[in-house]
Amino acid sequence: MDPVTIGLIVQFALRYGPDAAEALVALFHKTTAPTKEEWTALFAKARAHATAQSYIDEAGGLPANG
Amino acid sequence: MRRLRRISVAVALVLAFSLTQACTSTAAFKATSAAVTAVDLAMHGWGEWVHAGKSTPEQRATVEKAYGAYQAAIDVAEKATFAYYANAEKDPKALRAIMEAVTQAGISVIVVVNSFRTGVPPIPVPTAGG
Repeated sequence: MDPVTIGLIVQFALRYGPDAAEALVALFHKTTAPTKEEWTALFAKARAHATAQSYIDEAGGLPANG
Repeated sequence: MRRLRRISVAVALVLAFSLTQACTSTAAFKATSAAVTAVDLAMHGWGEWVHAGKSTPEQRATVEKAYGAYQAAIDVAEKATFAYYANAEKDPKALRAIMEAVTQAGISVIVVVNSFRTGVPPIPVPTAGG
């Protein structure tokens, strides 16, 4: 595994925890063809935040003076 | 600085996946997953950046637009993916289209967010097709 990938995994683990990082590592090593269910889960993840605003809201919203 | 490095790593990862992988369903899935993961990571950083009061309304509008285009690409990719599976004759070009739509829109989001957070204008991003 190259240093860039390792760096991403470490940073990913810091933000999302070891379980999520483990899932990412499994993705890198995936050799079997993805199932429809896996694609469905991936697209659901991509849609979890429908707008950029939802990330801002999740972080606490705009500052009071913003 | 650590967050900026994280965004750079995310861009590198998406590019590495999208530009070097052979076009199999596994490769398309990995590249699309990497793009979705990297965008999510970058957007969480953007949310924190905005919450910290470091963005302008114009920047937020630009990111919202780029993210909207990314969501539109997700729509296209989802339809194309299920059309691919429904079709008995699997066309690898369809997979490449899925991968490119998501990775290119995802990279655009990451590059825009990165440019606002670093103050450095975005550089042209190579397309997934080479």
